[in-house]
Amino acid sequence: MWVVLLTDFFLYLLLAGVALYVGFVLRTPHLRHAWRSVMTRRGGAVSVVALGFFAAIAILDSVHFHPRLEQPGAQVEYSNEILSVFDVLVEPLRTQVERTYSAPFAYHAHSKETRETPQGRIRVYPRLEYAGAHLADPEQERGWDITVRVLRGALLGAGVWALLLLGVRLTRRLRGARPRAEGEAAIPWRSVAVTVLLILMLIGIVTQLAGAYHVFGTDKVGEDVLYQTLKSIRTGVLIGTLTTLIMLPFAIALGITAGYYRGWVDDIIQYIYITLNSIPGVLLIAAAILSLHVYLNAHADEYASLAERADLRLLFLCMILGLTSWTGLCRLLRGESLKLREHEYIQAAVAFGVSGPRILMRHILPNVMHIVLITVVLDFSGLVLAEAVLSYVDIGVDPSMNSWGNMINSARLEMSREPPVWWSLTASFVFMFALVLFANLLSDAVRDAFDPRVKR
Amino acid sequence: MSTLLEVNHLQVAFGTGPDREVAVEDISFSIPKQGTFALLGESGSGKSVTALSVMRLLPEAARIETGEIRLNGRDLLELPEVQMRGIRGGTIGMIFQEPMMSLNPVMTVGQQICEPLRRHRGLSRKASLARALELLDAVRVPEPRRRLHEYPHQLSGGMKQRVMIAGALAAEPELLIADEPTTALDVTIQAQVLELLRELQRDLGMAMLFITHDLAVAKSMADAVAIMQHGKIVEAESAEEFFENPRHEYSRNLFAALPNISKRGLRLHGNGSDSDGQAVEPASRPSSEPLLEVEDLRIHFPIRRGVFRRVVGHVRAVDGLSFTLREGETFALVGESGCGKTTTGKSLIRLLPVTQGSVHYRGHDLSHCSAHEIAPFRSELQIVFQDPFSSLNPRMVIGDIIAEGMQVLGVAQDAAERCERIEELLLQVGLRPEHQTRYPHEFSGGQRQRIAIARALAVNPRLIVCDEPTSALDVTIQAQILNLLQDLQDRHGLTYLFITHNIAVVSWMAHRMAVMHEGRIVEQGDTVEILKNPQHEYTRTLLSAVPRL
Repeated sequence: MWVVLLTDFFLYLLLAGVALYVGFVLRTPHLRHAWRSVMTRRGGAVSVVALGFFAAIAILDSVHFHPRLEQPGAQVEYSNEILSVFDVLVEPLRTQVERTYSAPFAYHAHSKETRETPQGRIRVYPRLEYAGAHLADPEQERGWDITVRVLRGALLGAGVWALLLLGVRLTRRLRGARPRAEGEAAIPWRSVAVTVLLILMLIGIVTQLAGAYHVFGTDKVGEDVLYQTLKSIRTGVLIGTLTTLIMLPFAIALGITAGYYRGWVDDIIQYIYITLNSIPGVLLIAAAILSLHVYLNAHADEYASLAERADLRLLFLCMILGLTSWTGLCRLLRGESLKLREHEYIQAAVAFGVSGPRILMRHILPNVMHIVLITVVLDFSGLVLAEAVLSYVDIGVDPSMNSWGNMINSARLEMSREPPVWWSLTASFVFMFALVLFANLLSDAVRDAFDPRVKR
Repeated sequence: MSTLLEVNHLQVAFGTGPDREVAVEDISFSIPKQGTFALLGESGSGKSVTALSVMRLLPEAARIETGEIRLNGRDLLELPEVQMRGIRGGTIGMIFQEPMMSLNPVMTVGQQICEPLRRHRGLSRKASLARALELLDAVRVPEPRRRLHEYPHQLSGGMKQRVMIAGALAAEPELLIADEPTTALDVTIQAQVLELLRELQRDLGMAMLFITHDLAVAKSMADAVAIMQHGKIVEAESAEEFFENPRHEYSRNLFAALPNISKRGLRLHGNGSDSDGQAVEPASRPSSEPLLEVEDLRIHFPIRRGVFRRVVGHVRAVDGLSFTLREGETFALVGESGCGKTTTGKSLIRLLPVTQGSVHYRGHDLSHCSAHEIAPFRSELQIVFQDPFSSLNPRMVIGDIIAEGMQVLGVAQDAAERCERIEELLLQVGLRPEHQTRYPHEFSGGQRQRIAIARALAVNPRLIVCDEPTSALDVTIQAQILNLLQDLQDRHGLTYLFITHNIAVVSWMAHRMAVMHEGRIVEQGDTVEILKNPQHEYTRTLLSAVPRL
């Protein structure tokens, strides 16, 4: 039975918006040209591919349903649990839960346990229930087994890649490649292909290893850390995108209105954002999250599952982050509109008696969209990092929700153990770093392509 | 006289491979010691690139492909960068077009002039300050001692250009490169700066490479001139010979494109059209019917200070203006920058609020009516702006730009009718119907100005305020636009309020004119009469400052 969580709904909305925008870009020459120049930069093209991979996981992870319960009777019943399509795809990762901590690629637990044997009580590292369970003599066989699996996975990935490449080549040959227009630079297909190859090989290797080992180890309750960090992608991507979605209407509407009308309209809007800016953002977020807590506790019965509560909290966090972060873009847009309103084409429109709102929509908005786009892409990585910081101080997403911030937060205690449990922190760091790095690479390319002050 | 600078077969190109664009193509010239050599040409002809090549200050994308530049016999292109730095600002001084952009806003005037003195002459702090004072005195900056400690924003445009010149002269260069040094200045200031340059050259015995697009300015300065077109020198001649008898066709066209009083009623030469230089139909005589009557117009901008933004005073941009526009005539409002002419033009069509006074258009008072009341007159009062690059929305296609006014004012109701009218308008202003699906950036400055005119025409106006419509354009393009405006007036009986600082354009085009100074009209009347016999002191100063051919 399908379920649409609130954040899912907004993500679908966002996807629809993106699809509309892509259609618009294809019809508008200057936008098409600018986006093409984003893609002609190696950094831009590579990061688009890599971010596409992250987005694909986030989207798969946002299609939720109640699984059907296996029951002998004819009655169809659904479990109360909410799963996503992604959970099903990575089934073993989710279900192979050990008892407690284990290191990456380990076949035994992280700490010794006391066992009763005929020889008396001894302290041993117990074998794990799932990882390395297929090995008879793990100490001897593990190295070879892992090598074989990695090679097999890499070959599998390369094979799929080769098939894909062949398919693309064939369709291009059949359709006949479109001759490049004059002055158009080539998209670095080679780099794109290499990125795709690397991603496919990584997927291949992980699928080969995942059933038999815990690639990033397990956490305190024995859950696979790789699974957790993969699930965290959705949280990060949602925070980065939904927040922007919520912030944009405020920033755009207020920014260009203030800049175009000036006078008392401008004064009021400026006072609003100056006031908002002078309240520490963290304080506001903490207050909002705590009041949501109170609300949820008072209406506990309305939210059936833990997932729904966590989801609401995530949405609320996006909203409050959006409300505190629109001021920066608003100020930029106000400044740009102040400049634009003096342009003679705006005055020409006034001389025709064109109404204010119409001037805003037809003349100002299209001319500030590059700033909006650049800010959105730049802000994305900042928001992903903000989530980590907020969850670290316990005012971020719900503790039951997988997120990099929560993983780092729990790593605080794990790192002080002896020997330290380092893999949770490392895994979340690697994934967050990758996402933010690619987002920053993309924002760089976008700024170069859209910012009129950057000479090409 | 021995040769100071010799440029041989210089060739400069931007980019490489298939995108390579030659900016300067195989040019050669030489400048004798103490001589003045003028490079003349329209924008994009390669004159500034030539100057920058001499300084070796070309932008990164540009490359000197062949040629040599000899200063006192030494090839500058062979010198290592360290020595070249000694030559820049040392042996060669340079002044630029935009004094606002060439002075560092966070350094005082004294610091800017002292910098080259200490760098090239090795003077101490104290000695350099004393020398800077002398230099400011030499470029005739009043109260030089006080100015030394002022910042660029405290100076006027002409004063900044003087400071720039003082800085360029600091190290007593043998060659001064002046790249359009007076283009951004008013004519009266221009006359003073040109006079100053001539005197300094005589006193200091330096040579000058003078770059300009203005034939008259070149005539007043140069011993020898070269005309550049598309990166090539098409004609090089002594100044006397050239202004007497230009030989190359392009040079002759430049002269023919210049508007002046003797060409009144003739078409200007604007490249291409058959009717160039021919007499036009006797312009539809302006009727004596007044179309627009302006009485005691005042526009004051409040100056606000302090926390509560109290009004502490007013800038009197326009201070008591009265004039009458007759139907079908061209009335020119002439004045230098800051005299309030543009403010007047914008307030007449209510782009700016009127503080006091009345503006009667066909008997209706427009000066204080509401946005709603003015709506019916919007289609009859239109405006064409100065800057063709900022007057068209870069995100809209030409068709939409022209259609906007029609849609809002309901001129042509259905889409098919509008489309037909757009095509007709584009043909009228000398463009092609298929241009309507293109974006503004695909057009040149002159074409954009044609589009702006078509946009204004679209709603069938009776009065068009032309706010310096040709001052951003080259002379041949200016000639085309002026011809177009004249044609449209004859065809549609339009009335123009022509706002300009260019006396030559006025003398060719306007039936009557008014001279503005500090927000007031000092003199108005028939154009020919005023030009021949100016009454007011300011008018005489203004007219005598205009360089003549």
